[in-house]
Amino acid sequence: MSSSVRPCEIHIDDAKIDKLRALLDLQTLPDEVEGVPAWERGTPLSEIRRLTSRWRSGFDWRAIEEQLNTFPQFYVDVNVTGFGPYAVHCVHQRSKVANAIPLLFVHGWPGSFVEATKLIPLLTAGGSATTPSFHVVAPSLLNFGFSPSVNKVSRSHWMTLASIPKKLT
Amino acid sequence: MNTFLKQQAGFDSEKQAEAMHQVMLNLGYDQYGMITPLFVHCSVKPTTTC
Repeated sequence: MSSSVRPCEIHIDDAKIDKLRALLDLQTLPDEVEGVPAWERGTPLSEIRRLTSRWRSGFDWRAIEEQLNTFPQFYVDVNVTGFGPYAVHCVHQRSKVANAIPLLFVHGWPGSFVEATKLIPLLTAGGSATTPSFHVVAPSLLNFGFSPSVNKVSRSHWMTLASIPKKLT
Repeated sequence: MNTFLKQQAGFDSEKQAEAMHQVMLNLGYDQYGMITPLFVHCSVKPTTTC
């Protein structure tokens, strides 16, 4: 493995999770107009309360983190012209088939590498004459997920992610 | 690791493509030349699902 590729795992600090819970505890919810059908004027207060409660006390980030860490993840050093070096986070799941096809799975906007996680076991399987197998690379695009932020502005404020595959060919 | 909270500054598709190309090269996929175009294109319109 190249020195520019480093294994990594997701681990959010306890302090950040505690801060989120504290912010949820400090929430100030608005009043609600009576006699209006649900959802006619936005999300019902009851639904906000339900979601907040679930997020505050029911959602188990550590379980999600553990599940995501079942995939082999790496930071890959790249140097983007005019921007500088970045360490791009990605899942890199190789197939057991030696001559499998390399596949770059680019997530959408808004989105993350998590979109690929259900597909990866299917894509890396196969390998028969009729079913191809893939070595899958599912990165967090820069400015997304566990890849770093880009603090410069380039040509456009709007990313046209659909054009990326064209640029790669 | 960072969190998912990111400011979406301008970083266009050409730069994203350059970064992703380098990722593939550094992971050892240079023996294939450029990457085979096995992509599914999705609209980036916020209202569209893929």
